[in-house]
Amino acid sequence: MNRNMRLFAFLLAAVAASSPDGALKATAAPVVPLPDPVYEIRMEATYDSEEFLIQGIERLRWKNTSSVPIHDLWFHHYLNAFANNRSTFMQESGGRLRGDSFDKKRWGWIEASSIRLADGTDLKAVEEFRAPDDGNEEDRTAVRYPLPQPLLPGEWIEVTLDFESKLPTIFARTGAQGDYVLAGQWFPKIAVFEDAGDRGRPSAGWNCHQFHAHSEFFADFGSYDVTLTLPEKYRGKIGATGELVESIDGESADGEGTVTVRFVQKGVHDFAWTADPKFLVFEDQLDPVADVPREQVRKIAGLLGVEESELGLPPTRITLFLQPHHRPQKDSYITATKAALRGLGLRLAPYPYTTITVVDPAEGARGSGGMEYPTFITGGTDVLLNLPVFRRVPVANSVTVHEFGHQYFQGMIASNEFEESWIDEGINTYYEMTVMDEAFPKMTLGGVELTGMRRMALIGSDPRDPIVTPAWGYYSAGSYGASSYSRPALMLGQLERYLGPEVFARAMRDFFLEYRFHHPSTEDFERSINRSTGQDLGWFFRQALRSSRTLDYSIRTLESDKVLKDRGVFWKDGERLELSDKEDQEEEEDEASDVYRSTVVAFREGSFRHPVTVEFRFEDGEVLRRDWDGQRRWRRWTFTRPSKLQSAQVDPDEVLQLEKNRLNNGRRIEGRKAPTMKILGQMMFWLQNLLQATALIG
Amino acid sequence: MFDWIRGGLATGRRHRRLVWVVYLASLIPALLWACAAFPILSGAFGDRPFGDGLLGAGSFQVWTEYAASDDFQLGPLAALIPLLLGVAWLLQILVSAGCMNVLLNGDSGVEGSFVVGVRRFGGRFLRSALAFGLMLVPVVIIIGAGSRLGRNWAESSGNGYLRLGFFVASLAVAFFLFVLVDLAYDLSRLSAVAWDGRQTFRGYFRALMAVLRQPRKLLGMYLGFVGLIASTVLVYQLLRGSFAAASAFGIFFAFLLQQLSMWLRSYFQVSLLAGEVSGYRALGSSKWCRGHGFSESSEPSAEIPTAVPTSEVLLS
Ligand SMILES: [Zn+2]
Repeated sequence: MNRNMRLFAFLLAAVAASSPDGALKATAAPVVPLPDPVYEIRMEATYDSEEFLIQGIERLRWKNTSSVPIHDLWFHHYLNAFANNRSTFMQESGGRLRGDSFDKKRWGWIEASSIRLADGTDLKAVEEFRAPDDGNEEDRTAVRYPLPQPLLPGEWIEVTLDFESKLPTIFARTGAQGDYVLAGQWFPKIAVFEDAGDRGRPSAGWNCHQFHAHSEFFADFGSYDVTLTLPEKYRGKIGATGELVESIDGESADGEGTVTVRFVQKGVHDFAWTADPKFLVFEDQLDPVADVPREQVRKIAGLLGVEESELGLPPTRITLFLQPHHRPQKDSYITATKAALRGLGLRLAPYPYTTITVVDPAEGARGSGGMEYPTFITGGTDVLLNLPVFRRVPVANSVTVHEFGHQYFQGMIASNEFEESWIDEGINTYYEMTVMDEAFPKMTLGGVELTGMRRMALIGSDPRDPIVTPAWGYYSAGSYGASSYSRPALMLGQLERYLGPEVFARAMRDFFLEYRFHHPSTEDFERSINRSTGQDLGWFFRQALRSSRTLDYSIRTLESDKVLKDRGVFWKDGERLELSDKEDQEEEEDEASDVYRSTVVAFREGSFRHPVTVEFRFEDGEVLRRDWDGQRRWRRWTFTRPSKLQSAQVDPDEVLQLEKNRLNNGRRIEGRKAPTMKILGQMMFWLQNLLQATALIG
Repeated sequence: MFDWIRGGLATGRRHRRLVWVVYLASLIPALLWACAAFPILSGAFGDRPFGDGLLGAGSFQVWTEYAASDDFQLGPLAALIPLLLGVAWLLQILVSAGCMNVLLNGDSGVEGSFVVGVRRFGGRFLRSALAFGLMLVPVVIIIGAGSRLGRNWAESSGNGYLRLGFFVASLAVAFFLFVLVDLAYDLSRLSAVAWDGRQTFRGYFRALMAVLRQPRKLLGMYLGFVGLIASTVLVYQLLRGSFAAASAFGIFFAFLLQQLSMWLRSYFQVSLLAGEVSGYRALGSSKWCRGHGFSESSEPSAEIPTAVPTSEVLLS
């Protein structure tokens, strides 16, 4: 409660301080109340940087928010994924993830030496590791403690855990490398108890999956108050989830200098921290006036159909922990963070926390890059991007924008990443593309914007899995990636074009506001979008989200010929009349040349059915459009017009972002050589150069 | 160094026929490949409006969509390119034999002609190429191991600049070593042509020693020509970026520009050989490819012209 007051005071002060002429009154941000905590964690932990070991005490108060008595407590011991080569994570990944391989010289693990209830009962004796997903007995990432008596609905329980965590060499988002630490999933983490009906559950129960290679996390909202003690070399170089409220120098038992820092944050579902003596630390702030162009506010207000004054953003403190060798990229990190704060804040709702911490991973610690934790994200860049030549390569910016976007999708829309990874990754990828194209329109790869790049992940291949698939159930890592990121992002892009940008933007905002600080499922998403748009989009979601259908329409045939003039016997005004070839050839040709019959067949090549528009262009410049519901396998159109048909095109406006093959979308009657000649000339030139290069060694 | 480059360029200008040979040696295989690719590409883009995107700014997108689609049929032709490279390399070895004969022995009369050069020295040059290939192995190993060590060290130090430094340095060292090895390769072959030597293996290592004794001027010349060759591509890119080539005229103009760039590249390639001839003469026109026993008293297989402007420069 008092923390909330402090947040409010901070916002007020910041708003007042940066309001020179009252212009800001129009954009004053509403203060968003953070959710009531399902649990409160007070934790003290000490880090030994020689042994990469964390010793901690976790004091957890947890509430039964369900409608049934609870007989046990479940925790995640995520670090045990890295304990040995028999864990489910290691078996699934083979020790390789995102181009990084696990260092078997240092295994990572976590152990709770005791778990005591308020009355002193130690549950350690009844501890049992469970493998609900695959029955793997060697997996110790999900643990269950039966309670001596049930916890009734609305009751709180207090447990105190003594734990020890060994950080592996940086791998799969967490670990330590030299002095650099990125501690994620580092403490015993209470699982989510779901009531009947939550996310479509038939009965109440724990949702506690094991740690899988292609899966992230799922947790409830809580309050964190964490005190970390590190060797003194880390003074001023420690970042974490939440606000830094204290930093005290001290001394360890063996006389070494230490620094103790305390971070607190309400309304978040995880806590991560980082430290590196090499960090350069920069503080910045999103200035609601200077950093938010009116033009953008106007545009988005128009899109959402709200007053501009409703779209105010609060100031947000940005703390950047930067590696010295990436010093020239400082502004790039800050600019991207601000672009994302604006882009998502205006479209959905203001970022509700006071601070965002951006971490630049150490050299060789790429495994900890590109990750999101509440109010805390890690970037991904390379020293090569220091060079001005690469300034316009959108890689590092888009990682920052993407990870910040997770503050919304996963941070606030706390979906279950184990079971429905598309909700956070896919929706967030859509916003990443939107923000990138909006804020950095000149950043392209070979002239291709991010949307185009995302298409590359799925064009040309049939989907192997429905988008909605448990993270460990996908055919391959590639299928998990395409189904969680690109496909759902393009699916949303398609919906946006199908519904129109306004309807779509409003529906997405409604969904966000409805489920902010909750755990929506795919059904919740569908229901919310249907309600906002007033349409039943079930036909679309069933195919796009719950099937592996391929979307592909094409023009198969195209003909346009002169209509032959009347020949044969006809009856006219009661008279029989025989029309036959005249002797005079020239006259006949004149008569036959003014009408063309044109026939076009469009084909549904895939099993995904979607309405499409077909465009017909005629030589006299006339352009006709016809709508087709796309249900049957094909559709034929015939036109009898005074002009010859030039070309036909399905989906001329590129509504269908999920199209497998755009090449076959159109056809024209007269072939054209120019495109082929141009590309062939270029290919030949580069081939000549390649062949000529052998002259240097020939 | 600059005099060798200037001399090389002048000699290149005098031997335009060689330039045409070098130009055609890469044009013809490329043209054959393009002819094979034409029906495939025009089948994909000819009657499809989507292909029009190739004429505009979004050509990369069109190309990637095409390359990923079921309509992409260029796979087998693309797989041919490594083979084509191998053939081109063998071809270039023979072309070098002809060129070196012309440049050293003059293209007047039968003795110094291109064809005689190819016939007489082609086989020996192929053996030289083997020695050259062998020498590349340690170079590759040294560079590979060095950059790996450097990378690991840089990563453990946590400093990206170190990794970048190592990357650039290993590229530079690799290039430097390559140039030394390549210069020895060319000089030993020149010696074989000049003295009708047959011991190409021995000649190669002797030439390498000679290069290592006086590397600076040779390296400078070589780098100068590599710079000129690279500039043909860079200047092309610069000019090409200035117009869209969407019309038939534009496409034709781009084609002319491409072929002009290739012709110039071939010209610089021949000039590099001519520059190396100057370098070889300046090193004393040694008989590296002949055994000591009988080479000492032998005459060069053809008169070395005395009018070479640079032959004495390096001997001081
Ligand atoms: Zn993500």
